[in-house]
Amino acid sequence: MKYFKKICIALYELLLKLERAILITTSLSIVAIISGVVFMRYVLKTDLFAYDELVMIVAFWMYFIGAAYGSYEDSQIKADIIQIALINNHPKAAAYVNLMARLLEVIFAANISYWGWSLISWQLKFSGKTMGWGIPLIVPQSAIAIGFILMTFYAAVHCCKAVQAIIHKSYLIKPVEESSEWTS
Amino acid sequence: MDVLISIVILIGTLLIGIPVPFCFTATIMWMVFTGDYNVTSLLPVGYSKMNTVALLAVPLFIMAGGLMERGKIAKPLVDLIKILIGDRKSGLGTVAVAASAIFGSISGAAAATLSCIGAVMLPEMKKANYPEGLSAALLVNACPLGLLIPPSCIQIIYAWISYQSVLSCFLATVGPGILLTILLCIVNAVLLRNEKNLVLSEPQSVTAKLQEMSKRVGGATPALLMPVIVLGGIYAGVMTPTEASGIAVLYSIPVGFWVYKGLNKENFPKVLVKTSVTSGVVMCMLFVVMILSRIYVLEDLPGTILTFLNSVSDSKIVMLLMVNLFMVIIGMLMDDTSGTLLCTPVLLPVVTHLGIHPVQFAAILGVNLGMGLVTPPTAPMLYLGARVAGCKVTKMLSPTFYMIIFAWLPTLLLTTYWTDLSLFLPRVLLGVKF
Repeated sequence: MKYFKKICIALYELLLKLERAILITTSLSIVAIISGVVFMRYVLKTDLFAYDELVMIVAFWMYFIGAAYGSYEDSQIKADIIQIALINNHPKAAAYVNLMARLLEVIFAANISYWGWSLISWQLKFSGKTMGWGIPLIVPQSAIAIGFILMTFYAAVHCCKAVQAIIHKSYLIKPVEESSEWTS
Repeated sequence: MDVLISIVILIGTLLIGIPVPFCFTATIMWMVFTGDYNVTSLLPVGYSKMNTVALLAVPLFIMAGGLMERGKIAKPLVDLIKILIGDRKSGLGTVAVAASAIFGSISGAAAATLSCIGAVMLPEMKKANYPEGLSAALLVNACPLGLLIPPSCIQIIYAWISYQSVLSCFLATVGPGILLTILLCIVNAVLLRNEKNLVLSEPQSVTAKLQEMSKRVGGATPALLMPVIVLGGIYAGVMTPTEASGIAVLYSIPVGFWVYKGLNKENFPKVLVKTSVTSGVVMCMLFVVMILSRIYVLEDLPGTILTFLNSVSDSKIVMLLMVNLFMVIIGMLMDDTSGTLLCTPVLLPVVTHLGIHPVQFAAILGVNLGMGLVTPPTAPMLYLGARVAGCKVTKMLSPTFYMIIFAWLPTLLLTTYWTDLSLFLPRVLLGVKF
């Protein structure tokens, strides 16, 4: 059992490392392609053929792996007003509201993952390709499905933590102002 | 009825703390299960809407802002403005507002502006005996200025959804941004009028100020050049907004590494991961909202809202007030990006019918959502400000209400009812006829 737990933790860490590597590589690639287009236009006086197809494939992977990593960090945008209102005076009630939110999050994330998977299945059947380079559309679209599947996984992890918190009565005590996450 | 229930689901899931993309998913699920919608045709809507290079400007600006923010650019900016007006009674407050406006245009994020400018300005304001609550409230109210002073991510998103020129939307928010900056400075000066214990720096002659500025301008120039490169490049027609944002990232890397020395090989990958996550979170939300907005458009939600507004009043003024009220409430419930994503497809047809130009609506939306960020009870920036300043929210409430009533609301009303405030610059600089 201990050995199994160690393997699970190692795989979890490996997955996060892989996600970070994808994020760094894709963000640098996007900057390189976009700047390269400007350089080619003004210095080499030429255009990069159908660069939009290339850059958008990279972008889709950055978008959805980024969102998945956001779910891992629990930095998805929220407006948890009820939890904020309850956390100081009724931490137990806040913990139950948190658990309910986490459970619903898993259900909704699993549902959209299923829809994402349907999109891939559809592409597998009809094998659509991009107009310029003829790249299979499954390449960018699989990022959507994989991203949502990872988000479901991390939502389930947070849900387990919420259950643990209730079982161990270690209710999440955090300052009111830290309770909501915003991109602004 | 189904649409009404879907809105209740959206608000309910938001309130209990489900991440915004999944609140929208819940709403879509309801519409799919009760309506005649086919999922296999809905998901490609999100994909095809997002599959555009124009939208890449958003993650690239977020990246450029993140790199510049880590590059420790706040101090040289503050120092430069402080020389000009730091010796006046309300000088430090004015410096805080002006620095927030400039920093906001570089970083494009209200929270980053609040943290960086707050870290530099708050100790100085404390030293000068500024009232704690007022200092924190001023920084909180000034931090959303980045939504109005270009380049701003929400304006790129708005322009993309509403099929408007990005540059027109950038320029439309400049007028309200400057007006808000001035009004916040005035409110600060009025609130400080009876303060007797302020410690002011020695007054300097204009010549001495200019000499000091010439010494310090070099430090702030690389940071100030970024918006100039971006806006100049777009305005001159040399680059598209996406290309300009790519060049902004390319520019911010050497500036952060070698000029301001805030970036190094340890934190650079971390900044890339952090900014990619921020972009991913925004873009994932955008993907889901695009599907929902398609459903709402098919259900003719804008038409329903318009019919409702007509049933309440025939007056355009009253109807616009109600639209504004709706947006302020949305701004209080959601962050600026989600608010833009939800309000644009639903409200744009409504306000266009009322005679508002989409470019003017860009400015109205920006002011509304900015105000939502600082309006209690939700006010995410107010809570963040309390944490940055180490000050109780209750101490910040009174000055915040003054700023909302005497700075934000007049800006909102003027932006809504005085067309030239937002359309003058696009008309003059771009020659567009509205």
